[in-house]
Amino acid sequence: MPGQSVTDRLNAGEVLLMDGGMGSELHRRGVNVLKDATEATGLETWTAQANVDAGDVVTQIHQDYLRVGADIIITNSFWTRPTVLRRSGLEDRWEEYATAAARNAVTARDAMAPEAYVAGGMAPPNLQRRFGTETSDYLVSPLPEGNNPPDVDIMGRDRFHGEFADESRLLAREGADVMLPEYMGRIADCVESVDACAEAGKPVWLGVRHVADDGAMHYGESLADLAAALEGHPVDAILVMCSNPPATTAALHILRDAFDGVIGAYPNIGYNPTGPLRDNPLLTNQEEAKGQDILQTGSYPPSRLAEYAAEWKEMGAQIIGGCCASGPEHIMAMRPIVKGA
Amino acid sequence: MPSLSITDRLNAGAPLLMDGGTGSELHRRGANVLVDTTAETGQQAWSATANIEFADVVQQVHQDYMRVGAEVIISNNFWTIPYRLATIGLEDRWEDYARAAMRNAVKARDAQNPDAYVAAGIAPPGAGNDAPDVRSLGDEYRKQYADHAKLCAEEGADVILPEYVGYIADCIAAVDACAEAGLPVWLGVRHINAEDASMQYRESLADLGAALNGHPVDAVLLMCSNPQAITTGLKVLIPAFDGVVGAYPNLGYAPLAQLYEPTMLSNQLPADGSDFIQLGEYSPSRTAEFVKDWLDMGARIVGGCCASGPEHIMAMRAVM
Repeated sequence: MPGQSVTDRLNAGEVLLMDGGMGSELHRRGVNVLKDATEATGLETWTAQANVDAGDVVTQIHQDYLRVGADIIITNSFWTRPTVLRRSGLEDRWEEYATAAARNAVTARDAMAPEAYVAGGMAPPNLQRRFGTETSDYLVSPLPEGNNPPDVDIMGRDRFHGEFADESRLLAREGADVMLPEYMGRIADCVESVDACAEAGKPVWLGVRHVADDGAMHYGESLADLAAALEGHPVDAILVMCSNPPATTAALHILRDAFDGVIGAYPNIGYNPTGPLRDNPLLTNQEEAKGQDILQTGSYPPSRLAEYAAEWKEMGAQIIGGCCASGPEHIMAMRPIVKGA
Repeated sequence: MPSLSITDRLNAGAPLLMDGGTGSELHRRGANVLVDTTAETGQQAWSATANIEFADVVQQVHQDYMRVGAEVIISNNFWTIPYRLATIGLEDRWEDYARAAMRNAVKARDAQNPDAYVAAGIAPPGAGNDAPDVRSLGDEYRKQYADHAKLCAEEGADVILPEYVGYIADCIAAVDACAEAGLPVWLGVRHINAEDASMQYRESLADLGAALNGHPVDAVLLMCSNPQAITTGLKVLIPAFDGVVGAYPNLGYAPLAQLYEPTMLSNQLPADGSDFIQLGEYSPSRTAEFVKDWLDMGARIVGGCCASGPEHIMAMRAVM
């Protein structure tokens, strides 16, 4: 357990190095992250089950990131919530998967770098991508208007809030140092998840996904509006994540001026998770995939990503790491830039 | 321990899938493979010390390769040899490192896939001066290979693989010495030149095939060369050698890139910048296309060398 709180270190002006991708690295090492996934269904529960079925590999990846110098690792609890696990009929086991995710991270931290921090990462179920196909008593009825309603509107406030609050408490109890609702796409989901995660009594950081090249949020909302909406809500940092590096730069420019708290970034550099299942997919970093390779990091070798990290640090970012498709080699290359050693 | 000997398994038909790079993957995961290395000294003992200092990571890399389907893993004995360990003052401990390498591989095999095979991969010392090691070192070269092979056999190797060998004279001496351990011997030949399919020092693979006649070697594998070079090399080797042929390419590893501006990658393509892994066009799917070509040409053992990772072996498996 770290001697100094992560908030104190950020307040002192320190820049912290986060880890790189977990799901893509599990995929690369042969862990089945496509259980029940088909071209029609998409990712289903993705990495959630790996916490139990391949807990040793999850722990090893955490350790690899700590070995190359990460100050912060993110628990593999991305999709260990009931609404997501329901897709594989495992809804009742969410606590088991979430607990395993926390323990894999804490075990790795304690073994490899006791001064490192564990961030409890939690993504929304991303129901809007399945809008119109999901039929369940989990969803409010009637379905809300609009093309891409926020998850909080589809699930209803109580259920959305409750899942984030319950999992935050669980992760905090298991030793997470900070809560990280991440991969958020809509402002309404951001605000609700931050409020819910704060109930665990830990600092909250927010990860915002898929920003566009002009810095707009996934569904066209503005990061300036996001910052305004978060005023008075318990969030210490906003991180631009799962977006390609140039888009991340554009977003940080907006965020730096609009948000009073800490800013940071962890980009997706080209993970194509369902590549093996179908042709001509889109990458999750919103670039077009070429072929079926799961990793397409072409333009973003470690040295190039380190240049971006230098730019983001110059802009004032204080938390820098990698998301999908980045590996230990990228974090290793960013380390001398981010930490100055 | 596998129920079928590796030779019987090979004779039974289906090609064998080997693992990918271990040294580059250890490098990637933050294990120190550059102990005492400077731009002037070069790689010194490279991944040898990782067998003890980062034994858990070595085992995990082996297990990852078996998880994606490798049937043969190469123990990390590449440079656990007195000559290389002497560069960092550990010559007297070569047996400790060599045993640790074998135990890491056997332990990983037993845990992940008891039917997989362990090939004891042993590189020559690389004494330099553009001459065969066996000429520079004489009987010491043969003795180091024979001692190392016997140690690996004691520790449970299924096959001995003298690899990264550059000269014909070194190839012959290495297979003879390794055969003393009583296990099958495969030979890994490095740095094939793409333009004329010659060996690193311009010797001919056809001459190698002829020279190996009557020597105890079951398979010749072209390795640590870029994929194009392997394709041209196999065309020469296959008609010249009676035994099994195979290939495991280097896709672009620049181990010293962090230390200086490298001019060449170890796969003999020009390096570009400071990244130690530079795959360029050799994505898993592209590498799998090469593997398919090699299998069509008659190769029976395929895998990857430096800079290839589990994602490449996973993609190769799909075409086998």
